[in-house]
Amino acid sequence: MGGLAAKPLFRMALAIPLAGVGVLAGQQAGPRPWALLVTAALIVGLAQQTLP
Amino acid sequence: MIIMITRARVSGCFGSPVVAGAVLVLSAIGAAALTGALLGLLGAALEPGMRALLALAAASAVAVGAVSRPVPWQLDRETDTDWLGYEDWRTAAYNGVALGLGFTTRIGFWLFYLVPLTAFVVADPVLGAAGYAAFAVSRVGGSALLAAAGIWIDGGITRARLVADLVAGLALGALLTVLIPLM
Repeated sequence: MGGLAAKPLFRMALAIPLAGVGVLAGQQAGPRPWALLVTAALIVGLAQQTLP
Repeated sequence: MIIMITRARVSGCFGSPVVAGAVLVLSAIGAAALTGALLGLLGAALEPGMRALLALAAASAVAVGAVSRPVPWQLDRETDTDWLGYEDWRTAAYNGVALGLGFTTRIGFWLFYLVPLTAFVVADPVLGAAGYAAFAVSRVGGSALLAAAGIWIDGGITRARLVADLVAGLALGALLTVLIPLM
């Protein structure tokens, strides 16, 4: 999975529908940039605990 | 006495790891809040259309980068090991500032780029500062808490990167719904 996840074609095939879901979610929930900021900040901060 | 707090490398200052941890976290929050406030101020200084255009260009660049490679563009380095030599409050403070800024060391995840990008898009220095402060609490506060609990995370970056990339894809899509109406 790690090797596959590094392939650009696989990443693009995953990214396009994901971004589409994000657009739909944004339209449904209404645009709230501060909520995106806080969500991204909290998740990336936690993920960075795994940095070597 | 040098006490290593996970990847943050914090000296015990005033002989206390608790004080060192507090200095570390507060320095990180201060540096992060300042960065977020400046980005929010920069966003507020621009007309909404120009702000949206610049943010869209940056988001497109991040999307292209994230599709082409799993490891983000970053300064591939840790905090300066020379700071360990101080063995006083400066070790904690300098590490806190470096980690709170985020981009001066490895960022590890494309999702990180959503933090400065959305801080710019909110176009409000207070909200930008608060969002960046949330990053510092999560990043550095998390490290300090894990260290205090004696928990060492070894590995797991591949799985974390998968989750973070999924969130980044969703967030970039959602950001489009914020930017398009501004143009």
